[in-house]
Amino acid sequence: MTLLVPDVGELNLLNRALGKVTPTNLTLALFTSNTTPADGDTLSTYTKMTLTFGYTDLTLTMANWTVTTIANVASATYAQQTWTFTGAAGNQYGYVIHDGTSLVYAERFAAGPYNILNNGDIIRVTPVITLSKV
Amino acid sequence: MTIIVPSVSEKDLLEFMTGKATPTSWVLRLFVNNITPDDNTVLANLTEMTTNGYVTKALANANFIAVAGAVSFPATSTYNAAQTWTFTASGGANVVYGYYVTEVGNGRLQWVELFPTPKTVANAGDQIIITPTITLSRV
Repeated sequence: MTLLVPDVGELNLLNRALGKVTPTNLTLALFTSNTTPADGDTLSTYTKMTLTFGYTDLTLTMANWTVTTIANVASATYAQQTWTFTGAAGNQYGYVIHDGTSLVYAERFAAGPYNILNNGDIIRVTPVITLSKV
Repeated sequence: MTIIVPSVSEKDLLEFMTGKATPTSWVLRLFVNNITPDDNTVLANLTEMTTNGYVTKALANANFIAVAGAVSFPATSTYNAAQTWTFTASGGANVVYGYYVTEVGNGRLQWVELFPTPKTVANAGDQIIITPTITLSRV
């Protein structure tokens, strides 16, 4: 499925866009709960992967986003992020991007969940946000 | 019509959202050429008003108040005070077609809106009042 920006995420992004708040680095994390993202979600709606089997949350450094406009659609892309696990971490249903404790957006893996069973199993995510008028 | 965020401005707003860049502050302006803004509109396409005592309006970042909508409704950020131009008769009658907002740091157009009907400014005391509002929703 495509990513979902919940209501709290829209609020966060509007405040960032208008300079109401000083932006900070975002965090990319996997979630292990069988959650289908919805508008009313907050970060606590999701069970994030615990810091085991070599997993850590990943920091998306503000300056490292690449923003381009192609065919009148603006996109912000971050370099592909890779988690390499050291053991049986179990099902990974998707990922969230959050700003501190505030959820910005979530995406459930379209072909997931991915069951991490072995040392060396990998999940890769390339964060992309597009902005276009409706 | 509703506001238009041209493509170049979408890029700026995404940079602000991700923190790639940080907005400084905003300027609210009126335009007097008969143009229908679209995705490809840039600052040079708009003719800013210069008559009737017109001055630009500075918009401070901190004065935008964002509120979340109810579930499935867009978040809305509204400036905390209506912006009022009270004109003079200097320059005679002039037609104002809409307003636009630029960002001080990059100097570029950020969004623009055509008034549903043009406003003619002719007399001392004529007013145009705008409350800048922007909404964000997923498609």
